[in-house]
Amino acid sequence: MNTANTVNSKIVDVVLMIIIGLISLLCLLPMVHLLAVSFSSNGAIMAGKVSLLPIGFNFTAYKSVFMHSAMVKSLFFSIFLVALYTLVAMGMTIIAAYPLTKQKLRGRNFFLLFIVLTMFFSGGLIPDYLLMRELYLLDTIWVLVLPGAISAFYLIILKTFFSSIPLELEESARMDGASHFRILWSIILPLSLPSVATLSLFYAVGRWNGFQDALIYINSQELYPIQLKLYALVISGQANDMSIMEAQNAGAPVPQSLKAASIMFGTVPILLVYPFIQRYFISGVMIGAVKG
Amino acid sequence: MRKKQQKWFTVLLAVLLVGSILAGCSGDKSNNKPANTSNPSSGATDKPKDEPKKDPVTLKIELFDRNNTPAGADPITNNFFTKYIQENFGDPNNIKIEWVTVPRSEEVDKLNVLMAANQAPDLVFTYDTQTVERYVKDGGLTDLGPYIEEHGQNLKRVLGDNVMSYGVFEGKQYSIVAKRVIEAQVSTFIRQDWLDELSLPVPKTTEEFYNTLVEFKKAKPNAFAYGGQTDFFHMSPFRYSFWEWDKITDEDLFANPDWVMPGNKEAFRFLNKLYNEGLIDKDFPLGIGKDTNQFQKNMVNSLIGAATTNTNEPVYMGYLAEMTKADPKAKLTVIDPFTDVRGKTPKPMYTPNGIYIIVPKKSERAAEVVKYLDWMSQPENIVRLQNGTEGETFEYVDGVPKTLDNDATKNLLYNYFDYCIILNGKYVSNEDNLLNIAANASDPTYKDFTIASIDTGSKDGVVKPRVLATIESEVKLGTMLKKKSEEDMFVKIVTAKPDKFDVVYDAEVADYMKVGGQEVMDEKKAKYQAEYK
Repeated sequence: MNTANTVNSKIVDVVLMIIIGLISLLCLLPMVHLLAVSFSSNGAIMAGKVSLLPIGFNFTAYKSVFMHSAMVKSLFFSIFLVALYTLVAMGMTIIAAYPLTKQKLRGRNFFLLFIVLTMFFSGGLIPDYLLMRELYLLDTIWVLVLPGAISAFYLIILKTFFSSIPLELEESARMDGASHFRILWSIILPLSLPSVATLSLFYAVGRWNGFQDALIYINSQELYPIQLKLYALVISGQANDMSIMEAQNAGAPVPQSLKAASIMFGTVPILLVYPFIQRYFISGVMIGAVKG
Repeated sequence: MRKKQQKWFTVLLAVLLVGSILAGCSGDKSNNKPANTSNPSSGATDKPKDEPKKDPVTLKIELFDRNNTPAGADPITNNFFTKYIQENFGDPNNIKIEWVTVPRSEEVDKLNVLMAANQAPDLVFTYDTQTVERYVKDGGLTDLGPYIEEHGQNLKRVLGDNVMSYGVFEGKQYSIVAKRVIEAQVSTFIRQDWLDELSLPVPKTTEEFYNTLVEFKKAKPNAFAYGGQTDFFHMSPFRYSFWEWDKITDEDLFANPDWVMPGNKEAFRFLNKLYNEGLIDKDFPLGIGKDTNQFQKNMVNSLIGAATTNTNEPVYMGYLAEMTKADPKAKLTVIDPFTDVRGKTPKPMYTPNGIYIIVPKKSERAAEVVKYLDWMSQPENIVRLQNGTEGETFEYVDGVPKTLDNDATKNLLYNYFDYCIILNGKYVSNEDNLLNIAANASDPTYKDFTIASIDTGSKDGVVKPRVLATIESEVKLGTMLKKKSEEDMFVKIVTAKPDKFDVVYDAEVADYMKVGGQEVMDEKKAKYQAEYK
């Protein structure tokens, strides 16, 4: 009976492993293909010969991406923007979430309802645009930072996590004479590092990948995030229709390898963040913190 | 108890504070409104007529951002063209030009937001007819007619009455339409090296073309003899060559769907024959309405003998260059084989209208916009805005500007068409269209191919007549009918078994007429008769 069970669970393990492996491959292969394309010659790409290994290996595409000052500037701007945004957003989310865990806060449910409402209803594109205009945010870096500074969804996640921290820890700190800010800074935040790290990552990745807001709100080239540039570059591949409309004015399409190289150029920096965040994904910090 | 009171007091204070902030905000809003509109545009609300010499007025002009600036080139909002425009148009007229960039791929979306928020530049444009029609319906555009009468005589001369008429909506000149220089739609080419290999002549008629395909099929069983973009649009020259043109009136050409044109059935019978004999790609339905990557792959891998594509597409999409790289012997010759009984090669052409230039109703700069376009229409300015500086980026050859092949040219002219917006395509001569075609051959290596394909693509061209009235039923049913024609019917009829062909064709066309084709045709006939009789 016992051996049958272990055999069974082994089989389940193997099946699960295969399924997870396949799903991982599904995520990984497009990246590998893109990487291969970015190093391949245009002839091989157009002839459809490139799959997972580069054919006609060369660095031309990367050279032109790195030589392109506007592209490199955009990248640095994006890095700065993501850092600023993540800092602002995390700060705002923490100071909004923590008070909402307090039973003593009057109107707590009212505020919470108010915040949750924004998850379901929004003003829509044009009212948002008008609002940004009235706030003088159009065409500034702040229009990419402030409107998304608190995500209602992440706020609720963080609040739930804060609530799970035993009250006793806080009470002991108060007995030692700690203020609200002191408790938040020295007790709550260190204990919440895994969730803070996760949410920071979510915020950072969301900002890194977002371009819709920049598309609408930003006019100056210096304030284009890298993703907006990438978007324009990749879309310009559907140039066939455009060329017809514009009586062939639009010129030669961007080579596939250049597109792929640009996408790698825009993706790698955010991938580099993961290893640094990884060490915060540890559980069990609070095990044994409160003794029965 | 006291503590409780204190708390209530705090809450009350907080509410008051928030309330006052909100009130402050809204007060700010209404107070600042005039300042708000004038601040960023530096004097947009100043009345220009009072004291035109003092403050320059600001003219905001949309500019497509294609994100294709070469490394080392000046930014699109501050380069030779913008300086030339500011110095030669702006400064003498006391106008400050401000460029508002809009990503090319999102132009309609961004324009909609800007228009809805009353933030659109003074001069905006779009290729999308429906967008313009919608703005006209919503009353969002300025009638430019009076301004053109006053300031736009040069403009009228360059564009001509025919092109100008495309900008008329509901009887008013709501838009100025750019002139399209190249009207060729599709052209056909064949592998010259395959012809040479098999000692075949260049096919000149449909019959000869068919024989050539049969020979190709015999010699190269793996390839597609006639492989290119087998769809409703690209088969137009083929279809038109079967039509009995002496039986078709202008009214028919305007109102009747292609399916009921005399001779159309024979065109499809022939296409059906090509399919059933394996002379066209068996998988052609997969390419319809989707990207043409597979077709390009087949071209580069020398798997296609002859094809009909958008005019000059092999050059501007770059696959001709890749094909010759992969096979140095490969050579394409432009052919024009689809001949009708009169000996002509009829094929559809684009109408001569390009981008729609419009001025939002909110703009107070309609007069300046028209002055600007009128200034742009002067021959000297057209030359400069399309070619740059003489000696640096172009030179005159026989009195016609010819761009040079150097880095300065590449760094400047990659988006020249976004400045000289009244012309779609390079325009160097109003007498000899071949010169214009040559000027538009962007890649010097394939200049001959480009000229030949544009030239044959416009030979015996047919432009369907039009009426000014909106065809309501077409607005409603057009998209569905187009999809039915181009995706369902085309595939079903071409792939029918030869003995079932008549049954399938008749049934499909009858169905097409039933679900809306007849309704659209009747309305078109009525509107046509109302306008032309």
